[in-house]
Amino acid sequence: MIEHTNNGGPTSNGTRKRVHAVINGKRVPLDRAAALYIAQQTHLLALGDPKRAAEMVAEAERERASVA
Amino acid sequence: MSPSHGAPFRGFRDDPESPFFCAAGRTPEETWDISVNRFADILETLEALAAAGPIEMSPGLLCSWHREIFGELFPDRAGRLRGFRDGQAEHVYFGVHDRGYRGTTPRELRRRLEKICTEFNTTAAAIRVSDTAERVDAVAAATRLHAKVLRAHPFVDGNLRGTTVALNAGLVTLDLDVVAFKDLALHDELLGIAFVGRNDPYRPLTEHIAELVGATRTP
Repeated sequence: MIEHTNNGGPTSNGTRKRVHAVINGKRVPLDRAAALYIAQQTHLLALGDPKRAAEMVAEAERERASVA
Repeated sequence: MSPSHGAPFRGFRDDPESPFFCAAGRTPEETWDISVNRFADILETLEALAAAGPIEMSPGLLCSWHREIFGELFPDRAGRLRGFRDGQAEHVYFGVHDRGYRGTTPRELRRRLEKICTEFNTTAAAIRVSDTAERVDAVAAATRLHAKVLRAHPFVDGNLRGTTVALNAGLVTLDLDVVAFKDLALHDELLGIAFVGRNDPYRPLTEHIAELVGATRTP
C-alpha cells in the first residue's frame, strides 16, 4: 500500500529551490553524479538484459560510492 | 528496443542490428558514453525548467529531448517521429517483459502523442490547483505519460531513454523528485502490466514509482 502524504507534494506552493533525485533509497541533490547515475541506469534498462544490467548496476554503484 | 520495419518480432534490444547500437565512426562504448552524457545533461536542466514554470508536454518537446540525446550520434533519426520513407511506413516492433508489441502506426502517431501530452497537461494543471490532490495522483499522471509514450514508441530507437526524461520532467513539474530504477526487471514487468493489464493497469507501475519517489522524502 502507498502511504499518502502531501509533504512537499503536488499541493505545495511551487517554491521548490532544488531538484532532488532518489537513488538507492537516498535523496540527493540532482548534481552531475546523480544525473549520470540515472542516465546510466536508464541505458541499462534499455538493454533488456537483467543479468548483465544487474552486474553493471552493481559496478556503477561501487564506482559512485567510491567518489561520493 | 529494436525496430524491425515489418519483419517478425525478434525480441532483442541490445543488438548490433539495433539502429542506435553504434554510431558511424564510433564504437558501441563511445555511442553509449555520448548518449548517457547527453541524457545526464538534460536531467540537469530540469532544475531550471522547474524553476521557470510548469512544464507543458508536447510532441515537439519529446522530440527535442530525443534529439538532444542522440542528435550528435544519429542526426538523421534523432528527434524525428517515425513516418514514411520511400512510401513505406516506419513501423517499430519492440519487446517488454517477453511480449512483443508494435508501436502506434505512423499515420496516427502525432495525434496519439498530442492526446497523451494533453491528458498529462490537463491532469497536472488540475493537481496544481487542487487542495485535495495527493502525491500518488501526481505520480500516476507522470506514470501514465511514461507508459503511454513508450507504448506508442514514437522513435525508431532510443524510446526508453527519451521517455524517461519525460517521466522525470513530469515528476519534477509536479514538485516530486527525479527517480532511478534500480530493479530493472521489475520495471519491465510492471510496464508490461501497464500495456496489457485490465482493471487499473497503470497502478502497479504507479505504486512502484511512488515508492521510489516517496521512500526518502523529507518533510
